[in-house]
Amino acid sequence: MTGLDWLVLCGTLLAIVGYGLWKGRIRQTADQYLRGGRDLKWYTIGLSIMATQASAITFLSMPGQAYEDGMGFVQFYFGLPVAMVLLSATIVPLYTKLRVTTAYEYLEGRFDRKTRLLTAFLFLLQRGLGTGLSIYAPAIVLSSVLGWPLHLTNLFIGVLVILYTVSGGTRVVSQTQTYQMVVMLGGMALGFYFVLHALPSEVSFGDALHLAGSLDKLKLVDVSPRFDTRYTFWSGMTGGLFVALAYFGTDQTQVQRYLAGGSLAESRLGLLLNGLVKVPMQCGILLVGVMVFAFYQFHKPPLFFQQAELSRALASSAGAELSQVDAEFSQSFARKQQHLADFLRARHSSDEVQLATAQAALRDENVRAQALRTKAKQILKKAHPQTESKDADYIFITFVKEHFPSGLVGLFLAVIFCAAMSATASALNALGSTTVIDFYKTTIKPSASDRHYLIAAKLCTVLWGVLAMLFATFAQLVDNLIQAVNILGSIFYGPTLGVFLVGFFLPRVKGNVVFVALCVAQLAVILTFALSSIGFLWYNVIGCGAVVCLALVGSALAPSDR
Amino acid sequence: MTRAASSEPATSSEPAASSEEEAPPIFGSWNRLYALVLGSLAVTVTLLYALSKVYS
Repeated sequence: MTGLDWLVLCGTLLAIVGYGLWKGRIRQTADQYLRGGRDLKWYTIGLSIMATQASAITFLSMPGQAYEDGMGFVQFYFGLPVAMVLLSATIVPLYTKLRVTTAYEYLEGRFDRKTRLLTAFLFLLQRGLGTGLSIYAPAIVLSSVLGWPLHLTNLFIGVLVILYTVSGGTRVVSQTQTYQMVVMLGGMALGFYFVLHALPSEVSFGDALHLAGSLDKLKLVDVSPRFDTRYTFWSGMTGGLFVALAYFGTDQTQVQRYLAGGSLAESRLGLLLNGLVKVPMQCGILLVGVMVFAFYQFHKPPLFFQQAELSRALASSAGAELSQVDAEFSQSFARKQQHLADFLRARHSSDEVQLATAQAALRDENVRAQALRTKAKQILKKAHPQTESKDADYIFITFVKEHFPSGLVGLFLAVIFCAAMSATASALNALGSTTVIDFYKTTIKPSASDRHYLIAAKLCTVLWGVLAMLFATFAQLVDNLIQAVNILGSIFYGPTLGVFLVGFFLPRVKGNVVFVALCVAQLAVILTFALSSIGFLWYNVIGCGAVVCLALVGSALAPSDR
Repeated sequence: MTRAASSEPATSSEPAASSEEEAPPIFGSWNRLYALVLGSLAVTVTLLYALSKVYS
């Protein structure tokens, strides 16, 4: 980190936190604090929705995921635009008409209080844990780059976010997210440019794409109907659709964003902007990872990208064995350079036979290199059982640290910070609102002054911030962060979406039936997660389908139930 | 106390009245805007599929 990096990083953070605090100085009612005054424009809502979903994990894990497994992950987002259209046409007008503050309020009117409280509780549970992971992701980056203790970094991020979220509530969260999103998109665009710039001069963008494709990194759309493959076109269009419907339609973190719109039209336009932009944006982030992969075909990558752990293991009793593997890895890399030269020669001379031979040789060498990396991870794990066995989250940051020019390292760290702060701010804002509106006000203090609820909402936001920082402390036990967040969401989203769908489309189903259906379906999804190898996107379909089916059966068996 | 901070549950499960709807800018109707979003998804997926085939 140079002085310029520090200047860019601190300047960006100070500007955003300062802007949030300055905007939050205005005196607000509880309504304005929780719903943002209901006057935000569609572009603020759209950017806020995108910034809420794009956590630091997006910018750390996704390029790493593309490096390891290719760009197939983009299929996860295929259902999202469809969900934006469905929500704009159905749920958004309903919420707007009912003037609810949280999504779960609707369920008490439609069913009963216990159904409202259970769904709100499931939201608090999964979002509280998810927010801990959102703080932890950038914390590991800073700890790795700056050598700060992890708990101190967690504390630093948490306190920054709590400050302006508590100060300004929903409105300030959305307004700061607009600027954070600009920093994030600008930073990644510059990052993409410098990754391309770092490729050898004789390697064009087309060569890099062809190379990545030859090594199976550009399998963007998989139409094979397989349930055990995590990301396919079908799982994206069904499981991904259910995730998006549940996340944007029933998760208060997102519902709060578009309910702050000045009108129904502004809310709808904000969601549809997200539907238009999301898939290309995720594609761009994954493409950065693929270009980093192409770069490391020509520059020797580390044997293990978590270099602090690697150095520690090399200095331990496992050092000799690890050094041997590293030497073999270097030999493999040297052989690969010969195959790469053949590959480029064949590409530029359009010699199809030589090209096919070089591609096959590269694939074989890549398999050998991958096997050596796996062996190294096993040695690391054996030497230090607490070591993370996956290093995908460290791939892009390693590249940034070693190959980005001065100033851009600071900008990339600012991107990570902005992403972490925006996602965490939305989550704390929603957690605080749900706790006050759905629990405190309904079960503890039904009638008090507006100021009382305003203070309660602020206190709850602080409390959730502290809890999220505590969860973040234990997040190091999780391997791949982005998958962990998505799996966690998928376990709870399906049944919750099922309850809302029953509420909208099955008017005969009453409270007791849907409550039992929710409990059984949630248990079924948890058992599926624990006992089967089904891809996690299907949990959403299973949970939602189970609630709808059980509600239909229960309603037929007990038609008079209330 | 404002309505928003109230815990009074919503009582209706009917979709919003169309009188609350206003047309989107430029496109004139929401259905046209929905078609744009879904159409752009179809084009993007087709392009990505073609890319997969070209570079595999």
